[in-house]
Amino acid sequence: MANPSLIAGERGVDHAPPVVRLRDRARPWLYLAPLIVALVVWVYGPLVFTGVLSFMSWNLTAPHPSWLGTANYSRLVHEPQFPHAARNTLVYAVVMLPFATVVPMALAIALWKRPGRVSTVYRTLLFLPVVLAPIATAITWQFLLDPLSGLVNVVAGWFGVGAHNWLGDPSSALYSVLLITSVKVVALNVLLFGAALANLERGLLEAAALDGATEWEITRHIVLPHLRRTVVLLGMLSLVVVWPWIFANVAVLTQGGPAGSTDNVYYRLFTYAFTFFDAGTASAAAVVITGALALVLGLGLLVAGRRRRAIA
Amino acid sequence: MPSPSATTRRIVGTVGRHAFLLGATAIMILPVLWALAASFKTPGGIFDSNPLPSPATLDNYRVATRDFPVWRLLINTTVMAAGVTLLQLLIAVPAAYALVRFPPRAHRVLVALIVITLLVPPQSLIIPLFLTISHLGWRNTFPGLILPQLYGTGLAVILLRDHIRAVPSTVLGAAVLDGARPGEVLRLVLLPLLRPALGAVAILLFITAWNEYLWPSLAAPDIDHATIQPGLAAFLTQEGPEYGPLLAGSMLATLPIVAVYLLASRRVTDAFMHSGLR
Amino acid sequence: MTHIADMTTSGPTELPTPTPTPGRPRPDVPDASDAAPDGITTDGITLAGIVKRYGAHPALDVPRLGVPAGSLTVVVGPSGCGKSTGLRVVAGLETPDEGRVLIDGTDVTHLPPGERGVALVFQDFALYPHMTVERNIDFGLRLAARHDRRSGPSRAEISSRVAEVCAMLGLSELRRRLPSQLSGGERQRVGLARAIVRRPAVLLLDEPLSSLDAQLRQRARAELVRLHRELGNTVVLVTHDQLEALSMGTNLVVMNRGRVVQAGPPEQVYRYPADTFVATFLGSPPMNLHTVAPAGDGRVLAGPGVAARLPGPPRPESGPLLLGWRPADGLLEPVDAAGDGPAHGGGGPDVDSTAVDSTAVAVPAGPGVVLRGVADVVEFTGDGTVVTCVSPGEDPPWAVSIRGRDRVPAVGDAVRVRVQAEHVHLFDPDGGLRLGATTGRPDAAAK
Repeated sequence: MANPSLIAGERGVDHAPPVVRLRDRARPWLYLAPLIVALVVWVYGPLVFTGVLSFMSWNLTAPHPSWLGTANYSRLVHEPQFPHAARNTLVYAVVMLPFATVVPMALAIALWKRPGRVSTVYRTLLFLPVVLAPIATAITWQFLLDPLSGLVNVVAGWFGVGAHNWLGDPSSALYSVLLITSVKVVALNVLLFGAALANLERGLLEAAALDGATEWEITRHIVLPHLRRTVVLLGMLSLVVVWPWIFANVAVLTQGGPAGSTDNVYYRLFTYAFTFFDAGTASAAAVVITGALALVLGLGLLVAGRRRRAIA
Repeated sequence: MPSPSATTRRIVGTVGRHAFLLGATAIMILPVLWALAASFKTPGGIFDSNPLPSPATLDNYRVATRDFPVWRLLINTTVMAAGVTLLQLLIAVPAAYALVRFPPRAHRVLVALIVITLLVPPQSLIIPLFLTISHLGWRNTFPGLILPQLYGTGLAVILLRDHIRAVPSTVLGAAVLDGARPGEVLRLVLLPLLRPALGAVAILLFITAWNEYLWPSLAAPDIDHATIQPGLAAFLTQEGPEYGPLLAGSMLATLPIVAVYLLASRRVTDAFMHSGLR
Repeated sequence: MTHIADMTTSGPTELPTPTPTPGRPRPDVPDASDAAPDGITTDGITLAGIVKRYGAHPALDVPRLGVPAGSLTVVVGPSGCGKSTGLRVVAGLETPDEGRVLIDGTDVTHLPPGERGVALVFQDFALYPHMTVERNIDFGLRLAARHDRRSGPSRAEISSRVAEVCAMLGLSELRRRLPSQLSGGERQRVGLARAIVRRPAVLLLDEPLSSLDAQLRQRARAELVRLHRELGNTVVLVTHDQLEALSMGTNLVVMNRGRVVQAGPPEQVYRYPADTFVATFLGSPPMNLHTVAPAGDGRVLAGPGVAARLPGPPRPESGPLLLGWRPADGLLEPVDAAGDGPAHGGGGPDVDSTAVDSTAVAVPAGPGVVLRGVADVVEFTGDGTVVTCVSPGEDPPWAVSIRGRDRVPAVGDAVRVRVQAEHVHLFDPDGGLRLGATTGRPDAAAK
């Protein structure tokens, strides 16, 4: 028998039974709960804790922290080491940029232009440095850069360049560390540029070629504009991923020296915390680093976003 | 018929392209090959300009494994990397599934919060993480090594989310219509379909954990509980520049992971190629 | 094609009196929920006040639609008209923002899809790629057995039911194969088998034929109709193909822009389209439409190249109207037989179409329509020929179908076509609604 009230749709009324509504609402959170717990416990909680600690005085060997105010921050500014490390960090970042963008982009385009088995082999080998153990590569380079009989000096000798203590000389140590690390950055970004290029319609290139465009013109007017956003994103991504690699190389090869020439804010933070056991100053450094990075990334995203809108 | 100049230009282009790629590849992997060869050299021949070991010897490996608990370190590293990988996947798979299949209203904010965790420099977390595991008495234990590394779970979520999106929604819808509950859709339909992607992501996570240096050096400083990366560094400072055994140890730390990568390289690179990072 | 042609040659008087159909012809009539639901039985599927929005835009807005139990109902409309959304709402894959879904009198709006007694065959068949044909088919039954060990199907029952549908659909030899080892037609049959093995009260088919190639489609269509006859359950099939819509169903629902435009038996919908959308969407080539204005005593309508005399009382309207007729209903006449207009003996490419001005078409003496134009495109379709003609003025070109071996005009020939009064449809130019009278059937709108 027809029940008119059943048939008439009561418009605008969510008449789902409460149990159904609750079940549907709760389900995603059930699946997301472990992730949320993990991220709160191991990322967001520690971040807040770091922020609080930066206002405390706490020698890690002492039982309790005590309130200190902003003294940790003023110590960072007034001590010579931290500003020096910050300047070095800037040099690292700026010199690293072409290795995060132009070099891997050129390699990725060269790979992408002629797809096939050869390109797959190249791609596999080019990614290999990312897989290699950081300490193993550092040790290898220490060996290759040995001032007396390392291979680099042997090769330099063929060209009439005298033996040089690459890692021991303050003028060359930072750049040596940088070049060693850049191999990994290039390796990772070749693959990520490749991913961006996989999005580019090949038919477009064929059309351009039929229109009589040369290889260079196709690259210049179709491929490069397509990658513009990727360049910005990977430039910024590299600012995030590169530091653990630089850190390992510095820790193994130079320990920040000689004469502080390879020091950087990340290594400084580590030194405050685990050489001097000064958790407060280290936390203040962490806050400054995170804040600066957030500022740079935020500005970068803003620029990237505006540029995208300008194109659209 | 192409003009001779066009043909010439084509040949020059091809040669140039290969020269460029070969040069780059050489710069990037020759040092490793050099180190591999050198690890078989005698102490006297290690600085020879001859790249090949002659005479070749296993002495370096013998010394490395005798003076240093290389096997112990490798086992520790394997357990840690496997633990991190397994836990991250256990957390990331249901989360990515929920984000794709029944996104809560706040899912945009949630995704943003997940992406942010990828951008936070790990160095700004180590002090609280270190204090936490010290307080819990977890230093030199596997929980202390493994659990804090869950801070990187976000990467697995983002990668898996894109792979789950690529599964036709009709197939999952068909399972729902067949009466499968959400958990059954995940276990009986989605996971089998996701197996290749899951393998690739797992390998990526395993490699990342294997190569982790900073956290294990703090969490497990005892040589018996250490992992291979900080262990090698300790070897380095302990023995001074005794290159032969050091290189042998490095190769032992690197070769297993390189073997894993080369066996599954296609999958690993594809996992990146088809991810949302494009 | 011949099927439609045959249908249209029979006079409308032979039609049974149109009965009120479950789907109401006018969706925008206010929802008379307090009144007795006209013709709606609680059997079959009922959508009541269903609204589904994506963003602010309603993708589906169905105040009321009934699908009779045991019918093969075909839902047709252009892509994006909401027909697939409607199907997914019935299946439970989408939750409507408003309204209820009733299946055989039970409100299933908030039941999980698996508990509605509904099965769906997807357009891409959505087979589980990692399971064999047999596992694909028995997946749902095995789940049911797991969820309810007491009243769920036993292992023996599962295997006998699977064997039964495999035999029915000719899949017995393929049971151990994986979907990737099957042809398109075989996959479609596996999708069907998976759906019917659970003996659903309602079987939903989402464009089940569109991924088959043309050769297979005709056969699959017949098989589906036979399957429906054998199973006897309620089947809803969604398609964008108007030929499938007209030929397969016992009940037809036409949708456009998220709304139901017309519902009823296919013949009735085809002969009495509720508006110009239905009129031009169903039928190939589509119905011709001409803008005409009343002239003389109101029984005469005239436009560029067209003149009509209507039977019955004069039209009340004074403004322009849309006059429609199906290409298959037009009859070619010798050009100068009626002596209207300047005679172009034999026509030919030198015919100056501007010379045929609108007044040149003499109003026919008896009821009916007369059109004049020039043949512009002549298409041979196998069992006939379609001639597209242009009339002077702004009107779009119109088409006339010529059956069999009848004489076909050449390109550039002058053409004269007569349409009988009962094959003429009139529509309101604003909104395109059907106007009654003159078309052989007193329509509700003309009351």
